[in-house]
Amino acid sequence: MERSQLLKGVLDLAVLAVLRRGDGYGYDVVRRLRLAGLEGVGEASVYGTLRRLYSSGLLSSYVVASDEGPHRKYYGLTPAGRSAMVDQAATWGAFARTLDGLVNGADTSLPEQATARATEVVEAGA
Amino acid sequence: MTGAPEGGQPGPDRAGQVRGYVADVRAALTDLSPDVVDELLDGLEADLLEQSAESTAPLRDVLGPPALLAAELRESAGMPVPSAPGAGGWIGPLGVVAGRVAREGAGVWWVVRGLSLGAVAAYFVQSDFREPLQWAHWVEDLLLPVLVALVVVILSVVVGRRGWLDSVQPRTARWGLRSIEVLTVLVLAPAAAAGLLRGVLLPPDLVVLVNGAEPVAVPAVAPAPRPMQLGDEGVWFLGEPVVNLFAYGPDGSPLEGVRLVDDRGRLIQLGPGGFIADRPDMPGARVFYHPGPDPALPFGVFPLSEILVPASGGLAPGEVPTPAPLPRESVVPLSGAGAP
Repeated sequence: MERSQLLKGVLDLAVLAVLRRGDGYGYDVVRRLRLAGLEGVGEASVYGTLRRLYSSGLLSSYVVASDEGPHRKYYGLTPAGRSAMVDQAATWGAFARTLDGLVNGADTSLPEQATARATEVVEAGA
Repeated sequence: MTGAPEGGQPGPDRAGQVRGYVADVRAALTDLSPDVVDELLDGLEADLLEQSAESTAPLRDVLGPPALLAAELRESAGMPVPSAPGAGGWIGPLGVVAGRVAREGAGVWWVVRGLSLGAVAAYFVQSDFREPLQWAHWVEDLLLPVLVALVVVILSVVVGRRGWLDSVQPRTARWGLRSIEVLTVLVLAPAAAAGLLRGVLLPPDLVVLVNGAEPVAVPAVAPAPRPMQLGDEGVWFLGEPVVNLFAYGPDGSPLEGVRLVDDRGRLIQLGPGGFIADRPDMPGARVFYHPGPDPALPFGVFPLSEILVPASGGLAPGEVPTPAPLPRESVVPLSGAGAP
């Protein structure tokens, strides 16, 4: 399974989760995502995601000047961003549990099996 | 806050390369408005500098092609993807040029839109847009409208550069605003401009003096008087044009209704019909000279009557000429005049 495709759907949540632990600039967020285990995350995708979340009002930003090079642009969570992160985390949790149950639990999707099991229950009760 | 740079301080060569790389990324985003591009690229140079400092490989091997990074950046930022590639491949330079033309065309459109809206706003700012343009009221009729139009143009460019109209939701509202824009530019603006420039583009308004049964038309904006020249109609005396003539009888008293004829029997006139000239005894005052209220009088019956021309240049409709003041109440009677 292509991890990058999976990551694409949850990159917003991953970035929000990283910034919940502290403000950061673009490449700093990339490095923290990789340290957390998301090695395949693309730098430009993170940079663009940061700017989109900022435009949506989920992040605030500020510039830190540097004497030795170009300035850094830091991002932090806004209250709306914290709220969005909680919502998205809940959605992700429910989705992950559903998928986990689907993958690891009993398969009840086949109509024949479901009918057979229902027949067994009825006969046992009778 | 986290994030001390890793990989050591990049050298000045690397910094210069990254700066050039960011410029290439910018070139691949020319179809976006400058403010959006600035927002996208703000802080990117520092990120790329730190990112590239972790490797000694050539910059483009570390970061990849600028066009690719630009495409990923714009896609993840939720920006529209251009229909033609902005860079890369043989069509790349054409794409960049097309993007630039589109952007600069947008700039022209912002100015045109601003001028159009400004013309409409300026039209209503004028002191009284129902009256002919009066140069004497240049502050209300000229300066103020120009300032208003200028402010609207600046606002239009700011709105365009920030892409505010592009972000209006829902889409129907955005299209509604676009329609108003086009309607303003194509219909309202030309009408407003014609109104603003009335008296300049349009033929001068004519004010009709009711002279008995015979109306006389006079330009509302009077032509500036000029010294009479050889060949001009009129009478000269001591090098100056004569604007009125006063005749006195043998007893020294003024005469009215006098007509003068030259040696060839031609009726002397001082100007082409009614005319406007400076009055010698009133510096700065201009006078419309007129034979008088009697419509039967030809232009050549002295003394001419007069109407003082107001500073605005226009004559009120229906103004009646009044007798010109006598330069002398009387002259010395001729000897033997009045003698029995």
